[in-house]
Amino acid sequence: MRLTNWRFWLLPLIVIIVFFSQLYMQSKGLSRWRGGGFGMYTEVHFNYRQIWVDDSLVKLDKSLKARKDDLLLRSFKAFPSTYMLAKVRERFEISDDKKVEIWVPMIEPENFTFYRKRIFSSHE
Amino acid sequence: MNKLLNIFNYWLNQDNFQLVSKLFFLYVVVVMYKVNYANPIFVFPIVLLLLFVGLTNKSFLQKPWFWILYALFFTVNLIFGYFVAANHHFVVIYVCWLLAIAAPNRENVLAWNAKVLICLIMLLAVVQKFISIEYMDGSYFALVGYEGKFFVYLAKIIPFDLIPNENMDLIKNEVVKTPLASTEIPLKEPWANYVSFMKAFGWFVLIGELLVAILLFTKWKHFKNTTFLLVLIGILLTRQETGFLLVLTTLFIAQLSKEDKKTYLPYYMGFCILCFGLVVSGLGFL
Repeated sequence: MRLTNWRFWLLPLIVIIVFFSQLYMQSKGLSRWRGGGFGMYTEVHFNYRQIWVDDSLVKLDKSLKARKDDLLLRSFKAFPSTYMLAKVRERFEISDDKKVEIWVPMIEPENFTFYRKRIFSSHE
Repeated sequence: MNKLLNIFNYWLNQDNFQLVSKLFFLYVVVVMYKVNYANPIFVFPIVLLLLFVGLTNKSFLQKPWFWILYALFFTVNLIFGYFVAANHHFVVIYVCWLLAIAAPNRENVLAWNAKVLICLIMLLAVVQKFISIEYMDGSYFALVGYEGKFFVYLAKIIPFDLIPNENMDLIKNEVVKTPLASTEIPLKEPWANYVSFMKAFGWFVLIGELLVAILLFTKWKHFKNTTFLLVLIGILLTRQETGFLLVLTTLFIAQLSKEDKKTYLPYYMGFCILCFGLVVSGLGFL
């Protein structure tokens, strides 16, 4: 009865489809904290990621008065990709010769050292 | 005392759909102001329709159309904010659709889907943990614990300090340097084998989630409900995910059998109300 009645299987099917779509997006660079794949608390939150334009750190702070700008930069941190990079370059008028990178804080468990790992670079 | 018993009986006599729709409605009313990623032109007509249904129909919470409109509202917002919407934004959409398809009195549909939803949330979270190197080697928990992001509520009651302050100063100075000029900084562990402890804590969380997924489909009334409540409290004490916990608790209530309700409903409802208070007061996450 339950298998033939759509009310019993439609929602679970949607959840599973969303999960696999998130895994696909994850393979393209989407943070595990986003996309509906329930990967929270499996990696450092993308808010801790740093966007560097050449030697300048881009900060998400109150100086970003436009909500859209804040949303765009957070989206770039969550999905470091050439797709989001193009949007960021256009919105903030960053020329193509400037290097844009995203770095994330990490801990090396073997010897408990703090370091930063580059997860995206525009010049690779 | 009689008044309390009357209140308890009032809630106990409601069917699961009525209970869940009322509790969940409180949360979506609060959260809908905060998840506005969409261009208002797209959500304004949906909001108007929601208001129209709500104001013209006494039993609007029992109507499928009401919950379909809410699902549409959150889905449109999700499309615009896909890269920034939290994972429990997705769960909110799932619960809206669940209430829409179970309205007004398909209790078996509600209970079954709630069980499967909780099971999938737990199992998929376990899969994500297994495929994460940072999780499995303990480094993620070690870093976040070190930064004081865990056990925030406990720290307000029992003041403890995991973080050797001199190392936090080193980290703060390091993160503003250009990455290529940056070096690895050896940190002082709060206690011996800190990383191994955090790795074990990670396994503990993983096993807890697996246990919840399995127990949902057993008939061990006391063991399973006690475990569920302990897991909910454990998550709350570890991290203030009050919005997610509120939605999760409504799903736990949705799958309660009549027999389990008599004993455990007050605890689930109490936890729901606690989380709601923490969300609204800003002491917890939305």
